Amino acid sequence: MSASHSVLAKAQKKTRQKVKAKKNYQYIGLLYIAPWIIGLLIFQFYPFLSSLYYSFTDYNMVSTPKFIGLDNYKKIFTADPDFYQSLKVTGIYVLLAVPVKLAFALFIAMLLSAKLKGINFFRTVYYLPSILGGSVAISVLWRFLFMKEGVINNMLSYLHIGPVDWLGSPDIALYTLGLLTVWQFGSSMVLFLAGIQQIPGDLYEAGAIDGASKPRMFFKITVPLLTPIVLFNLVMQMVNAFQEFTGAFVITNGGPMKSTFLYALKLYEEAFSFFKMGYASALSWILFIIIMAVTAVIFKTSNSWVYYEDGRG
Amino acid sequence: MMKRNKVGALFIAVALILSMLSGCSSGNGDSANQGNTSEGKQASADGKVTLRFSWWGGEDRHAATLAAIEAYKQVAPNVTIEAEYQGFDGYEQKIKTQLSGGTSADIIQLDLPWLQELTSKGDFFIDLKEHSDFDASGFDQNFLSNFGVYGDKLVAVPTGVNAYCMIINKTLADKLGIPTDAQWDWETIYEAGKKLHAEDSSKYLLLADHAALRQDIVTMLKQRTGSQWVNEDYTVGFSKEDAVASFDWLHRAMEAGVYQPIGESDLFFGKIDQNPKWINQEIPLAPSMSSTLLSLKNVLPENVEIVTGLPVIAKDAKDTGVLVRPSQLFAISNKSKHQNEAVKFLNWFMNDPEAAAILGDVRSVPPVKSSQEAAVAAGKIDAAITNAVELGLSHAGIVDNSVANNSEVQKVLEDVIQKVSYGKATPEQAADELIASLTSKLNEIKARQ
Repeated sequence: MSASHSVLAKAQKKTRQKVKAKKNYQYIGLLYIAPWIIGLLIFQFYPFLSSLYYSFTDYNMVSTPKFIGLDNYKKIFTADPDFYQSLKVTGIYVLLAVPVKLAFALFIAMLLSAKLKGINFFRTVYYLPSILGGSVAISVLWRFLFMKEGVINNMLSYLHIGPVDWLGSPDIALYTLGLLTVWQFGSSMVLFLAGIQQIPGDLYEAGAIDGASKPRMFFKITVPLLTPIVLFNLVMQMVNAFQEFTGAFVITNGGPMKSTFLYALKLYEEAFSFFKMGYASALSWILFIIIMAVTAVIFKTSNSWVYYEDGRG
Repeated sequence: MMKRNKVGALFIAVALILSMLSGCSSGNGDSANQGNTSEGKQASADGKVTLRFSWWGGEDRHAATLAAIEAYKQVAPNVTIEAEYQGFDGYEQKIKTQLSGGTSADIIQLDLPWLQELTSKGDFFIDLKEHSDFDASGFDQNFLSNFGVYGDKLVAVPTGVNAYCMIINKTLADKLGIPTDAQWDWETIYEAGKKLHAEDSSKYLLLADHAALRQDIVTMLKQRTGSQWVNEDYTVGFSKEDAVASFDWLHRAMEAGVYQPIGESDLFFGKIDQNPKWINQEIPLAPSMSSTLLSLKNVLPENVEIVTGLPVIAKDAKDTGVLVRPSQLFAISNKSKHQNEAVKFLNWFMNDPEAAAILGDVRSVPPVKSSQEAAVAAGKIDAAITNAVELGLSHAGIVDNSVANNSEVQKVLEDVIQKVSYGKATPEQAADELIASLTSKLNEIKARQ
């Protein structure tokens, strides 16, 4: 009896020690994650909530915010034609830039998935534009490339084309800026590349035995198996495109004729040129809701076009 | 082993948190703001003071200002000046954000319109009149009170006298047969521009981004009415007829190629000196502020001669519309922990002959007489800038009120100007739109006051 008691006591002690150790591990885990949680609370959650509050106020960053209820929202929807213009421009930009960027990223990923000697070098080279990205320096470079007397028109002149007013024409400028974002295809491309390499080779072998052509294999094997990655890339790039700012700000400053007056520019102008922080907060919440809605639609429809190997889709 | 790992993990996690928190504090305070924190406390102990000084400008201004800061070390060895300088792009936004967040530099270079807005919205700057270390007696008192005094407080001092003028590439103008000593009116300049572009389609007479076009239209309106284009009581200061006539001229000028197309010129908004047409000497005249002369000159070969003239004045002008204003202004933040030291530095920077000789005309002609003389004696003032300022002062038009300098009001005019420039609105449509939009915007601003 006493022997079994002592065994039981030992076992209980061991369990208690384990629980304690587990608790300790939890603390350690929490400590590890604490910088992120504190960062989230201070730099994301607090500004997030305060901007919601400011969106119901008249706030010029200097005097005390004055609560004005829904006035900012009312004004945005009823008395601000620039809001609709920026929304329209942003909508076109998203619809244009995101699909082209994804298609281009997939195309390059297909090329870079080839089993060639030194392919890693090419993968690095093709990723470089994304590192340089949409920085101010690249935007300035873009301006010099695409201005009326820039390099692109010079090259076209050898083909007896142009000169095209890439950035000075209200009909073309937005598309030129779209190219800048397509150029930063690297992160989507890397994900596609990883996805392509995960596709089992025997599927292609089976396809080849059945006599499927390369394009058929691409559309019937590669694309369906990549749809989860397409979904991820689509959502991420769409969110980024809705918030696009640097290129339009540095290169065209929203012009010509507000043809590149993206939503983020409108928001920035209200906040930092006109000091209307309450109004800008309301604008940012509207953008947030739009992005949420579009994301929800993409996820909702994804059931019908995203294929998961475990049969979920 | 396990225990050691746990201790190690704990140590790393604590270090991460501490480094993040210290990151937060320095991030909020801006690295250069140390003068207000730990260093500030040190200052009282060992007498060392660190001041931050922010300005915008081109390479010449940066180099001269840095040299002056270096020279100040001899005057006040205990004071370290941290320079925060950049181009014009984004400076306004940075300063406004810093001011509202209480993290601005001690000495701040400001533009006149922002100062007018800032002083109406808050109390950001010290009253220099309260500091006996600052000697304002050398300034033209009228100029000082027109632009530096707000609500009885001397919150800022002009950095230089700046006049709107015609900056002329004389070498090119001579080659093209364009007179450089002409007093242009709107018709003569239109004819000259039309002729030049008709003869050589790659050339345009006038260099202008949308801000310069706005200035031209405002000048035209003031010359027609003899008064402000928007009144102090938030009403429109011109009639539809005035607006139609002004827009009609602009429309014709754009069609005839008097100006470079705005789609091309606006890519260099705020930095017209980078416009390839100017650099390649395909545009001879730039209507601009005299303070931009140096940057416009420095992009051209050394043998190119630059002269200045009066801007366009209508034949029957009721007011010349010639703008004379401070190049920029210097103010001292009331959040500065070392206000006295900042005042002493500003006083030296504005009044000392040595400083004047170093700075020369990088902020146009110095506003203090003795400094002007010192800079001239040192051969540091371009005769073309002096000429522009003298012409401006002798033909100065009415001083713009703060409503006219409001950024939202100016934006309304710029939007309509773009429509006319791109041929998307007739002068009549543009005039109607301008009056309607301005009236609405002015009412909105008035309601917010």
